[in-house]
Amino acid sequence: MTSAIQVDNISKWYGDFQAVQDLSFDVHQGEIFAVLGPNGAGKSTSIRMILDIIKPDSGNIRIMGAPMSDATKNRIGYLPEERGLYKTVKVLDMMIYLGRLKGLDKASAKSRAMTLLEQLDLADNANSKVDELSKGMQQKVQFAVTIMHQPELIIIDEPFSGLDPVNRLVIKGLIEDLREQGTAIVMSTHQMNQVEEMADRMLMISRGQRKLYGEVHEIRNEYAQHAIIIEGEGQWEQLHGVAGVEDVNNRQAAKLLHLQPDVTMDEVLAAIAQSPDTNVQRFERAVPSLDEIFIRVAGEKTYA
Amino acid sequence: MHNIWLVAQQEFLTNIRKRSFLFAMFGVPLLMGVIFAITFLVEIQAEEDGIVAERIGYVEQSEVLTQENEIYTSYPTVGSATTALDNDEIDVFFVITPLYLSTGEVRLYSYGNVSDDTRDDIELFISENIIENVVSDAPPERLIDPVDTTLFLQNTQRELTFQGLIGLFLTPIIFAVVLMMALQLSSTFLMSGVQEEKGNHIMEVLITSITPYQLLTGKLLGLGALGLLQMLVWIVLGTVGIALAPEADFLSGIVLPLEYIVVILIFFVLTYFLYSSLLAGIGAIAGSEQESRTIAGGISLLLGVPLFFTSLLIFNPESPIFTFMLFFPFTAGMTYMLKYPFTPIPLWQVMISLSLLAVTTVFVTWASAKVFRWALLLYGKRPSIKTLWQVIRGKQEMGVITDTNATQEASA
Repeated sequence: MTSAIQVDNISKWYGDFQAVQDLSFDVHQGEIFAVLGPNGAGKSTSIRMILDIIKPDSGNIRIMGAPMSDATKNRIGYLPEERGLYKTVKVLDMMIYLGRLKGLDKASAKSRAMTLLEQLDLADNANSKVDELSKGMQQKVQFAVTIMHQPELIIIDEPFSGLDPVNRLVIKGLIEDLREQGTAIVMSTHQMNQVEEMADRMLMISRGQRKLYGEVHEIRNEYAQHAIIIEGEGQWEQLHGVAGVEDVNNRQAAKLLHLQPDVTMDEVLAAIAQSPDTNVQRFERAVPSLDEIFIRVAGEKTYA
Repeated sequence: MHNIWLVAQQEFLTNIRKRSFLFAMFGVPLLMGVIFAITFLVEIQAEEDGIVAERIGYVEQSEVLTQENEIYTSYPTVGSATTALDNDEIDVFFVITPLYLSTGEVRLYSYGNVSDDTRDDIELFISENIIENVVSDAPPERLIDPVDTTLFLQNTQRELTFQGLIGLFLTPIIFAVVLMMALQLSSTFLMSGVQEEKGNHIMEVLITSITPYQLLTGKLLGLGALGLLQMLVWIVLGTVGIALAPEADFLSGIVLPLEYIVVILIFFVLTYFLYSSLLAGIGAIAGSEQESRTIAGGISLLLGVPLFFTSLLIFNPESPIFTFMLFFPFTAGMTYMLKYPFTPIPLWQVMISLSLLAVTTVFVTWASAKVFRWALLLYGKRPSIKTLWQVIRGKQEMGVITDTNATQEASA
């Protein structure tokens, strides 16, 4: 299967400053791919190179198996982080115009726009001017514009910023539907919980370099400590194989049990089963959240 | 091509609905029409002001009047005429004084002012009577109005009447002002459109659909068509207005040769692209809409410079300053328009002027497109002239200012 995006060893210099260093990654069809990184890490530069807005100094980018062309552009939907719409134009007219620029004919642009507006509960606003809509409504219209030409590759910067929880669910549902249909979705975001919930694979860059790349759950497991999170009652310090006990954040009930290097989780579980005075409500491997990984990885060099 | 057409269509249709455009297209000529109408009405009123006499008396003291006329009644003395006036038998009376033949003095008596029409009638009546006594083979009309000059311009092979002369003088100025206003309006739309799209970041979505060159070309074409439409509407409205205003006969002498109009159209199109693409480039790098408007106003003024020399044109149309302005691309179109009616412009000069204009226009459009493309993703920073020169030579990348000292990513 051809990758939706194939990036090979791209580098980009702005004067003396190297914004992107020797970056490589692939995005597959039918997956949600998260691009993470601190501000100024080179995310926007990388996305702009993928979109052919700027050219890499070296390296190679292929979109749907070929270098970017005008025809390929029509198969991509892009929603930049700071987004806008024509304020004084009617929603439907604007969608038809932007859809036609993406290669739709007038009739199908109109019917696609109406279908999406109905899905997003905006059908009544089709003939309103954009500046008469609430901010959340405008966000939904922008999302509709991005996907109306049924692109095979969608690149979204911060898909959920500014959305209330209800609309967030609507957009999330739409993105997941698109993945089911085989669309490749790249989302650049700071909202780690969204990545944990939705993304299949991820790339994290910091200072223009690739720091993490791969399946989201594998990366989290990789960063897992040799420790257990446990909730319940018991004398955890005295348990076989436990090297130390720590509170987990502010939650009093949960404890983090650091294990001795040669002890497995199963042995600890067996030891708990044998001790009479314990009562366990939760027992899990201490897998860090992406937030923690992000701070660890991004912090390594930036602040060290 | 398809994308250029789409953008052109969109720009045309969006802007034609704007209130500011509709006002400029219909409001301005309407306003001017109203002003003209009021001026004419006041003038006509002044002419008709006063007594329009239907019964006129006269007292003959010089033996000039010999003709009979039912409107005119002869009275032997000023006293009897005064009595007739008092008794409302006549509306006015005039006295041809004994010294009339040497001084031309005629006294008019009435209650209140006498209209110009009645004065003219009396003058004509006296003239006709005098001519009666002249022995001549010439028809009487020639004796009353012996000379009606027509100037035949050898150099332009055109006839010129007195009315035509005023028209000749006014036409290019009217044309020039119309061109200037149309140009200013469409290039302002272009610039504020670019500002808006940059401001609301829709630009980033647009340039993933189409290239900046397609976007700029589409905008130039769409708004150029709008400018032409505006000129057309003004010309049509103006023609209709003149046709409806009988007093505006001084404009009836305007006869524009086809070649003049064709060449003007070529100049218009080139000049439009020259200014609009320049302003589009400036719009893309200017910090705010206000700033870009100020710059646009200043640059558009350049277009009007030849208008300052109109009086020189009348007395010395061959002055080298006009040749210079004809060759200078930013004033070429306007100079041609103004100078053509006064003096022939050698074909080679027109060719040089058009060539220079065309080359400059192509260069400015190309350079502006480069700046336009580069500046689309640039926010809140104004580049130096040096940076711009690098951009034009292709040494700078989109949305990026590469300085020798500092480096910034535009969006960071």
